[in-house]
Amino acid sequence: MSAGIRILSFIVGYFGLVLFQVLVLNRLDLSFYINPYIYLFSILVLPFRMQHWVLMLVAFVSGLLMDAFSGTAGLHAASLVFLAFVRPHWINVITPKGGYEAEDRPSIRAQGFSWFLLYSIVLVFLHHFFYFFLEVFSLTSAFSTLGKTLLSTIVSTILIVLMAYLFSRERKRA
Amino acid sequence: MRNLLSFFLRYNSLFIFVILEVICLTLVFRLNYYHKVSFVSATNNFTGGIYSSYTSFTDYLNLAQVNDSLSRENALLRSKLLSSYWDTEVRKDVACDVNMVQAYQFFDAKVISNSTNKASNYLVINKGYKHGVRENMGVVVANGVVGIIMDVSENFATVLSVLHKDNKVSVKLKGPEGRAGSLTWPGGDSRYAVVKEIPKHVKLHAGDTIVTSGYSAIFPENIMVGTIESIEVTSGSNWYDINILLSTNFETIEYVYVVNYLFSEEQDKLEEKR
Repeated sequence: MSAGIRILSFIVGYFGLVLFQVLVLNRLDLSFYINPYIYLFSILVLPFRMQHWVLMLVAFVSGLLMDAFSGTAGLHAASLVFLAFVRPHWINVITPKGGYEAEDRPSIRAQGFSWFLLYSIVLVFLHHFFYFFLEVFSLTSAFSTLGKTLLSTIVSTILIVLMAYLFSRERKRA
Repeated sequence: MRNLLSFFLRYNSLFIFVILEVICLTLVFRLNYYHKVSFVSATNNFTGGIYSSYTSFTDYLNLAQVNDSLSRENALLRSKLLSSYWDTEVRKDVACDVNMVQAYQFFDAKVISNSTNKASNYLVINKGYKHGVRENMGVVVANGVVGIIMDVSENFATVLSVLHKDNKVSVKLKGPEGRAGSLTWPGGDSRYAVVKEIPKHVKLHAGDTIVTSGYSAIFPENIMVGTIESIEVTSGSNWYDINILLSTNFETIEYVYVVNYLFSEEQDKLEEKR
């Protein structure tokens, strides 16, 4: 895959996720405590070797796009940049000694279910934590915000793991 | 400079992270009304705390001036208070009964000066000539006698207290055939007075009630004066010396009624002819 196609597929994939997020998930209104955000899947599966600052820049622009759709100037961008900042460090922590020669991006097929679950659940939690606390911007309802963060993290992670299966299968077929 | 540059290069991701976050948070707080407000209120909590403790300190330094100005203002407000104005309206309670002729009127008045600890005690009330107060009117309270109007000015009147060595009030034993005597005050305790001129053949008991006789045209009849505390029999005298406990509490007297005997002029004229 050439770089151009990868960028294009990222953009198209991200657009698709954002649209799915704002048109479906944000309108589900499951509960006050369950607000899953799955658009960050795109950032999760960006290549390992991507420069850190490029990763953050991509996250920033992607976040602004999400903000533009949801009318929350800077909120998603801030949490997504935070996610992008943490991502390489977290990968370093959970990476096996040998590294990832086989696959150049996080994938549930290559790294396995438990690795991907561990990888995504922590980053999703950090992202949601950052997002929800920035959203309420108050510690007076800290417990309900924390509950919201935990429950949403669980739902988001389940959806993201499902998507990881879905997209890797598609990619193999293609 | 090279070191600085290499420092930036070494930690470039951190700097970019910080820059991007600053941009994001600027957007968040500039463009979202809710966050703008809560950011301002959160910082106000902090800075406001500092400001309020600073002002509480400076307030303390200014306490003297503030006290002065407050007390001045208090005095000003107090002088504008309704209670600073004397009610010049005189309420005369008139009973309307066809078969009855009104003999007494009562004016209410406030005691503005009072003494109980001298040999000759006086009270000053805030009703005077203007309000219909005249000399020799009686002054009573709800449960006892107070004295007799002695002097009247435009707005005030002086009351010769019962607690005055020269004041004599005509009293009697309560009851249809109560014998009359005269009440004097020997001085000393403001709670006690002496009733004289009740002959020795009258049967008396401690605790009997003494009321006004109504003979003097100053007080109406049957106004409570006090109760008999002890009875002394002096040899060589036809009269008892009766110590009575006054029902009026002169120490705490505040509001009194001035008694206007409507027939006093007529009665005086008649008595002059004798």
